[in-house]
Amino acid sequence: MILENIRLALKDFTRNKLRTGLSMLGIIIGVASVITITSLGSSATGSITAEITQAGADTITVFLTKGDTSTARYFTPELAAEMEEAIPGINQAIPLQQGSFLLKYGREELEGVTVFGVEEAFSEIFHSTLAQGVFLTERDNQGKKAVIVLGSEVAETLFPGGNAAGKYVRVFRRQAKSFKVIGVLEEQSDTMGMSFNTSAYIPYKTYISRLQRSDTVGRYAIGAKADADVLAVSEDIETYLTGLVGTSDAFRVISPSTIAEMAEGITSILNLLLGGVAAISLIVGGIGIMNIMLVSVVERTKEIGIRKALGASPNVIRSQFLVEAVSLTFSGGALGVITGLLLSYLGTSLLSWVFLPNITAVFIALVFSSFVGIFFGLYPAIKASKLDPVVALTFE
Amino acid sequence: MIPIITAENLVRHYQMGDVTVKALRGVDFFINKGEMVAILGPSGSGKSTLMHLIGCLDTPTDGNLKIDGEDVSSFNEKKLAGIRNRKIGFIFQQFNLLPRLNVLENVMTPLMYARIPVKDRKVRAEEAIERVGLSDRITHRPYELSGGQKQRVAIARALVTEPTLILADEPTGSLDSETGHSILTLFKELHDEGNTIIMVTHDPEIGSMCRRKIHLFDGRIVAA
Repeated sequence: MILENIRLALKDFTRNKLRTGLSMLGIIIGVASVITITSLGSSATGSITAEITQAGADTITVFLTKGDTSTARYFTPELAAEMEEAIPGINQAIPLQQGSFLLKYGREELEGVTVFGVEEAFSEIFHSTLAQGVFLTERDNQGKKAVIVLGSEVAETLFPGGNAAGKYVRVFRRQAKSFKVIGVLEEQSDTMGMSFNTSAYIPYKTYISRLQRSDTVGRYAIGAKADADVLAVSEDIETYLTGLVGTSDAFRVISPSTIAEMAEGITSILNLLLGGVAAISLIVGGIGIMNIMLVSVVERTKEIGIRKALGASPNVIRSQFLVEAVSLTFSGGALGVITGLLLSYLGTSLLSWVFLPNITAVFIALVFSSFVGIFFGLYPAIKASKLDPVVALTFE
Repeated sequence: MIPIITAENLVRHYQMGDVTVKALRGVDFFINKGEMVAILGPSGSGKSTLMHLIGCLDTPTDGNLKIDGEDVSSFNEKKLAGIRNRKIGFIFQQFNLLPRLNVLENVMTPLMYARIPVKDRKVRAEEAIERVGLSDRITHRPYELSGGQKQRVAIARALVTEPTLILADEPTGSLDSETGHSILTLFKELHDEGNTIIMVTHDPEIGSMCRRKIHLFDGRIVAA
C-alpha cells in the first residue's frame, strides 16, 4: 500500500506541477545551497591538497613583515645557513630576493617578469625540474655570474622557436643588463605565492650586486627533511626566529601544510555555519509543505470521506498523507541535490579546481529532507485521518 | 431466515449548539439475507441518519445495531472501517468515484484496503467491471464516463469485495429516468443473484420494486 501511495503521490505532483514546484521551492533552495557550498568547500580543500602534493608539502617560506625597520638587520643571507644548522628538521634553507623586470630577447619582450635571486638549492627545495640546460650552481653564485634560468612561459614568449639555452637575454630596470640563459624550467603549478612559469632565476649574489642592492633578504625558502613533520619544523623556525629577533611580528612562517590546515579550518567553520542555515531553510521549507498539505486535506475532504467509506482506517489515511508529504520533501531534497551538484560542478570548472562533491552532505540532505516531511506532514495527516466520515462524505 | 441486520431501539441525537436534534427516536427492525428493502421517507425523516448507521459511518447514541452478528454500536473508528470494508458496499447518489483514478483503479481500491495481493485485486476488479458491462471502459477516468456508466462503476466497486450488504443512497437520483431504469434493472438482477440490497430513497418507483419497505417519519418507523 505504501508503494501505491508513493505512486499516487508522484502522479498527483505531475498533475499539479506549479503548486508542487512552489511548495518544494524552499527545500530545493535550502538543499541546493548547502550542497553547492559544501561541495565547493571540499573541492577547494582537495585542490589545495593536490597542489601541495605536487609542489611538495615539505616547503616552508619565511616572509618578512614590511614596515618594521628595527628588526630588518637580523634578516641577513647568512641567517639561512644559521637556521639550517640550528634546526634539525631543516634539510636546506636559502635566502630569496625578488623584483619585477622587463625581459627582452631580440624583438621579443615580456614585461613584469619576477626575477628571483636564488641559490643552488632552490630547485631542490621547490622540486623544480629542468626542461633544458642546467640550474644555477654555487660557483655561479660566488662568482656573481650573469647567468639566468627561465620559467617555461618566459622561455616560450622570448624564444617562440624554442632553444633558449646559450642565448643572451636583457633584463631591464633602469638600465639593461645582459644574462646568459643556462636553463629553462619545466612547467610547474603555482604555490606559496610563487608563479614559477612566469619567473626567471639568477644567482643570489648576482641579484644584489647587479640588479638591486639590498642588505636584507626578501624571504627565506626552506626545505624540510623528508622524514620531518613540516608543521613541527615550522614551529621550531618560529621559536628560533622569535628568540633571535625578540618579536614574532616581524615575520611569518608559512608552509603548504599550514595553508591546508587553515583551509580545512575555514571549511569546517563554513560547514558548521551552513548546517545552521540549512536547518533554518529546511524548517521554513517544511512549514511551506505543512501549509500546502493542510490546504490539500481540506480540498480532498470528499476524497477522504470516500476512502473511509470504502474501508480505509484512520491509520491508512494518515499514512497516505504522510507518504505524500515525505515524497514531496524527498523529491525537493533530491532536486536540490541535483541542482547543488550542477552548480558546484560549474563553479569548480570555472575555478579549474578538482570537482569533489561532498557525498556525506548529499546523504544527510536526503535523510534530513525526508524527516522534514515526516515532521511537518504529521499534523495535516492526523487531521485528515480524524475527519468524521459522514461529514467528509457530505462535504461539497 | 438469517438476519443480517438487527436494530433495537436505535437512537441518534445530534448536538447543534444548544439544540438537540433527535434524528432517530428509537427504531427497531431486522433485515434478512437476500432481501431487497427500500427505506422511504421525506427529507428530515431520519433516513439518511439511518443509512449512515447501517453503513457504519456513524454510531448510535443509544440502542443496539448488529451487522452480520457483530454488535457495531460501540465499535471504534478502526473496527468500523473494517466492517465497512468487508461487509458493506456503498452506492451513492453522486457516484463518489475517486476522480484521479481510472475505472479499474477505482474498483480495486476497496481490495487494497482489504490487503488483498495486487494480482488478485486486478482479476477480481476486472470480473466486477465485466459484471456491470463496462469492460471496454477499464482505463477511462470518471470524467470520461456518462452518469449511468459512473453509477455502474460504483456498483462494480461495491460488488468487488463480495459484501454482506449493498447499501444504495438514492442511486438513481442524479440520473435521467431511462438510465435510472437500467440501473434499477441491474439492482434487480443483483438481488436475483442473492445479494442483500438496501435502498434509501423517496422515489416511489424504487419503492414499488422492493418487496419490503420501511417508512420513516420524524425519526420513527411509521410503516414496515
